[in-house]
Amino acid sequence: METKELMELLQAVSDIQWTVFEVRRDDFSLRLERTQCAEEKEPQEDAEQPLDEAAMPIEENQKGMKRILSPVVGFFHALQGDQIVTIGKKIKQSQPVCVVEAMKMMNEIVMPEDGEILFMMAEEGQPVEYGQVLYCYR
Amino acid sequence: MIKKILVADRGAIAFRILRTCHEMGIKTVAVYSNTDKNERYLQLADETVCIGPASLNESYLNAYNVLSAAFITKADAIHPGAGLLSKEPEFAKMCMKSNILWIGPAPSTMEKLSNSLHARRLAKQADVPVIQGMMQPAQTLQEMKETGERLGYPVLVKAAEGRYGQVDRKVNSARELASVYEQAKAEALELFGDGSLYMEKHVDNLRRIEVQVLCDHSGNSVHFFDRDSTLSTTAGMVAGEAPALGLTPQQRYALCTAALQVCQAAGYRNLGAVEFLLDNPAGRFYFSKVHPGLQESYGLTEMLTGIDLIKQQILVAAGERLSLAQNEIRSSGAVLGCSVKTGRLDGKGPYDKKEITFFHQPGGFQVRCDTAAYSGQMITHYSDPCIATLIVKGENRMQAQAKMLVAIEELTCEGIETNQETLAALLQDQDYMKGDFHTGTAERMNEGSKEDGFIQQIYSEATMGKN
Repeated sequence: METKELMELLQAVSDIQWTVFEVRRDDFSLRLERTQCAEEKEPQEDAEQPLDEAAMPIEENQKGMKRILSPVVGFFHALQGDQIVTIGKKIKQSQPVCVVEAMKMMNEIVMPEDGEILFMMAEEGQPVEYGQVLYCYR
Repeated sequence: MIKKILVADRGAIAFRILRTCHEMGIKTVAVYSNTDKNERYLQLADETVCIGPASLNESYLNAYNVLSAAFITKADAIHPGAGLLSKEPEFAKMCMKSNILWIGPAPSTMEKLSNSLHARRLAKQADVPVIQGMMQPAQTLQEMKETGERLGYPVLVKAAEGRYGQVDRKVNSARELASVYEQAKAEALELFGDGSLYMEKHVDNLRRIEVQVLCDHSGNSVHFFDRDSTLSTTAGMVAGEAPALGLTPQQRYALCTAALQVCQAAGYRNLGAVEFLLDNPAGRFYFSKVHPGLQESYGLTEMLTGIDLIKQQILVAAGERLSLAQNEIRSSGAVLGCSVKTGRLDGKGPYDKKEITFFHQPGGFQVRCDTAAYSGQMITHYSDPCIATLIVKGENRMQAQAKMLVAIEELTCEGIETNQETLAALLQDQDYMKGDFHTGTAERMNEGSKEDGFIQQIYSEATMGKN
């Protein structure tokens, strides 16, 4: 197998989260293993230092895309009128992006920093759990 | 009938409730915290909801998130499991207000029974003996002093709202009383927001016996005989047995009848365990408290009687009449139970974050292992310290003991430290074999009659401040 051909093949699967990758052709064989990439942040062991809640809803992934996570369990409600959130919309820090209704309490979710909405991950009225991704932004 | 139950507990108990629900054709919702997302019990549920971060207070004890999880999944009932939210009347009230069926005793009953003085008065009305002492909170130190003189020292000063004996103090003479009174009052006020104290006679060498009861909404009630829970700590059972050793048939009958009388007087509905203190040499027993809902040691009673208590509990909560008559409930053989735990005995940690590299659970005839552990499981500070509950049944106590030793040895849990060795040592201890253990055992052992530090630890932790 040509090196160029192999590089193209690797390029093609680079977006897939594989742990073992094996190629066999004629007398050529290649096996690649990847140990757990991007492991979840482990909780701190010390009980006297509880998890930093404010830091929880944003997690950065490799491409600079950030996520807004639901801090409660409840129903997702989109905003209406001027505040409506659409893909590509630029929103300032502390501006509301949606409401998660839990036990008839309206929890307003705000933009953690200035950014542009890339994906909307929840629909109107949809049940969301703790830590579920609501929006992706950049 | 109930269509969908949310199980508000985790680990082995969640596993078991989910299994019983499936058996009954009821849909299930399991909840979990961020760190528990790989737990196996979640795979047994029809739906799962993440209810918060690792800390218990923000997830499993977060009433809003648990209830909200029931809303978004349209569950019509919540089973609170054993522990966690199951002893919280406030949570039960919230469920009822939200039209979600609470599988446990009514919150008003739970509140009434959690106050020791209320419970004492209730027992007395039902003609069930309580330890000699005050029936109303002491208003003044003078009142305490007079009661102390009347009862004779030593006495116990207790908080009315105290559940685990945190505030309880043994007082040996009138001179000590003044300082103890002020201290305990301040402590009770801080812990429970209620500084009510009362006094009762201190009785040595007691054993703790629980009678398992079940009451339906039509006023029918049955008991499932007794369990000995003397060797347990605030963090749960260390070793238990059913039936309790050394009770005569007359004593057992009196104890079980008394348990039902207390329940009737309290208007108790659902599953519960009525705890008594047994003064064995004198053959007297005293009412102590009622534990609402499911107990950690329910499995012992299931093995003893062959009845699925969780199924019965769900049926009764759904409003059905008891399908069991008292004479259909029979106990046979001897059942022993042991909790295999990791970390410190009192459950206070700290634990290292470790992986169970290999786990094997024992099995065999009349051997039950309630566990949620698996090879590859991560044990963190937030995990339940109880790895497995072993329950075995033999024709008699000797056989059960032999079986338990085999089971303890067979249980393999590599990668973390467990108390298996301690449990094996306890089972072979002379006093334990004779059934000669009680709330005073620790003190005697501290005097140096035994050198085995392991067992001494169990005895002292088990009996600390619990009489």
